[in-house]
Amino acid sequence: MVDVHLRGIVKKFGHTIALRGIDLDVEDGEFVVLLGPSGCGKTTTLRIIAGLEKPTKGKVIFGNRDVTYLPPRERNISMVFQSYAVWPHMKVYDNIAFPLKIKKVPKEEIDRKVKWAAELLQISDLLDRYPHQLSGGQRQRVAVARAIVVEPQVLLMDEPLSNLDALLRVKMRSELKKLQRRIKVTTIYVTHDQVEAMTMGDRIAVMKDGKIMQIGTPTEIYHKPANMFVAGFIGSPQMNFIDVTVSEEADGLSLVSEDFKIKLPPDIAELVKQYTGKTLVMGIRPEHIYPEGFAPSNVKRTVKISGVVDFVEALGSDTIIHLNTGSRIIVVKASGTYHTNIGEKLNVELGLDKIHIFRKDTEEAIL
Amino acid sequence: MFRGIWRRSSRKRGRSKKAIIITFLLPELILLLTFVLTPIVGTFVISFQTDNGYGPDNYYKVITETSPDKALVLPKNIESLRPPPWGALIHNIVWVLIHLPLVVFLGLALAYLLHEVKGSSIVKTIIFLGMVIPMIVGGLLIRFMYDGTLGVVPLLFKTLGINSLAKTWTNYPQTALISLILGSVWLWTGFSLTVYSAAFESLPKSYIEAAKIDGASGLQIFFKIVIPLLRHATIVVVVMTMLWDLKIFDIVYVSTLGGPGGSSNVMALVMYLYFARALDYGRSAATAVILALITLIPGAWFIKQVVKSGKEKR
Repeated sequence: MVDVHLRGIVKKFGHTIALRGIDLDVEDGEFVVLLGPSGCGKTTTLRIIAGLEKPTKGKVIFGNRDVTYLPPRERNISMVFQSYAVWPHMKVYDNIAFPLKIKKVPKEEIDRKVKWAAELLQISDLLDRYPHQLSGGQRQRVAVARAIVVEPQVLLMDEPLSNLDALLRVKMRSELKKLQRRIKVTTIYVTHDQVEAMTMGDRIAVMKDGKIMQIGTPTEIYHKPANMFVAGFIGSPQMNFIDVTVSEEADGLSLVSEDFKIKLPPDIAELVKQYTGKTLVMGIRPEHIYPEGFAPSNVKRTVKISGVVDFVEALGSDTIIHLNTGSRIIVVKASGTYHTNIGEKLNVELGLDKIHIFRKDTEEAIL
Repeated sequence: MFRGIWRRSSRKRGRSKKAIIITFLLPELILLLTFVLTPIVGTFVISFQTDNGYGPDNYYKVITETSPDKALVLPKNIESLRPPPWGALIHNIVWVLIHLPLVVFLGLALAYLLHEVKGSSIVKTIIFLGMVIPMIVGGLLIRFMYDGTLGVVPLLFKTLGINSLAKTWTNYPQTALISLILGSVWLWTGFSLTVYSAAFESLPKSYIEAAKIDGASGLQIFFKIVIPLLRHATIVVVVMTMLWDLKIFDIVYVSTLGGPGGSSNVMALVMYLYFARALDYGRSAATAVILALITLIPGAWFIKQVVKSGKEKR
């Protein structure tokens, strides 16, 4: 296994800039997820690591070896594609054995390794079948088996679960993660699905417009987003963003919006003091807003706002309430047992310890 | 009671559905009957007509014909390894043996080499021109191409100092057949290139990239991944080319008329010569039936493959 380093990777396709200077360090045996919306450059980054694209600028380093301009076959990597890329004219056995045959591994060893990979992926009974005789999930396992059979230094996965149905995706998520832990291969995984990223990655690199916006553990990314994009991209439903003005009053600083006024405790006041009189953006996740009286006991500081229920999504485990405060819609994530009706007046409490504050101009996090 | 009414109305619906199907099918059936089935049956009947009634005489005479400009097989020339004429049927087979692999290989190789090249459509269009021009014109062009004073091929050999080939190829039994076959490669490669190019476009890029990641070289990808994945396109190219080769007529007619001395003769031309020159309709029909039976072999194989691939899910 090996550690992977990207240094100042820039990629241009004609006049379009796909990557604008990517720096990334992936530790040996680590599972890093590249997460972002369509067109953010995550797949291009992966393809550059694979050697399927050459960067316009920058370096790709495996361990101490600069592999930037090496073809894929000299990088000792494997890749699982979104479409699986399981060759339809080969049986499952031949698909898995292909990279070994190319490397001229002795027949007995090929047989042993194919059986090992097949057993690991629980497809031993499918080895004699053609891909068109398999389900999507089984093909996906074949693709993973083919990727791990060569015991690569780096395993690359490009949205490998996106073609599976929801239930199978959840199952494969945990299986892939367990498999990665078992074989301890450095893994770089591309997805646009935040749940996949949060559940699988040791660390997540959130990307937007060809840049990495933040790299961190799932907990860091969730609790301490570096900017409004990350804050909005992670979490479902999306974080509520509310424009607030920092106002200096006799008893200290307050955040004032059309719907509420929050008197800031000294620790937060100190952080926003320099923005007095200016407009900032306050962010709060729907799960940190509680119907009145339903705040957990450990939530000490809250501020109350009122509104009319505009829309309700009863998801079973949660109830998503869209609350019209008169000036905006605030989304609240309540417990699944909580019941309310459209048109009802509702008071909710914002958990003050969970608020985020961003600069309006740069969208960077202050708190 | 209700059940009875429902049954009656469903029977009525079934009858009216049949009437609609027949109404739509009838015009096509009449056309097929008039212009396809009747001539086929007519040709078959004529092929057995003799002066004394009906019998297999025409077939016997056509097959045993020894005149070089009408013979289907000339065993003596083949056995003694003499240059053509070998007989029209053998010429057709030689045509398939040389033309088919060249067309398949060139189409596939050009499609593979050009599929990611910018501006390749211009090259493809030029190659496809051979398909667009009428075959009669193609035949004339071939004749000029091999002409000793005007042609590019003799000129090329003259430049290379190979004077034995700096002559009008179509005038000599040794070179007439091969010159037409090679000329027709140019005329037909556009077809295979187009079929393979379309097949390449539909091939997922990830199949080739996965092989690259797994360490395969360009040649390994070509032989182990690309060629097997283009099986369906290859079937189309092989069958269509074989049928084209077996039915070849116009190129030969305008460039050599099967000569010199029958050395570039083909079955379709023999059929024509019996019909238009000898006015021997019986033998012409017998030759046509033999040709049709031979072309049925690749045709039937093609249909079998199409049915088979329809059953297979990708």
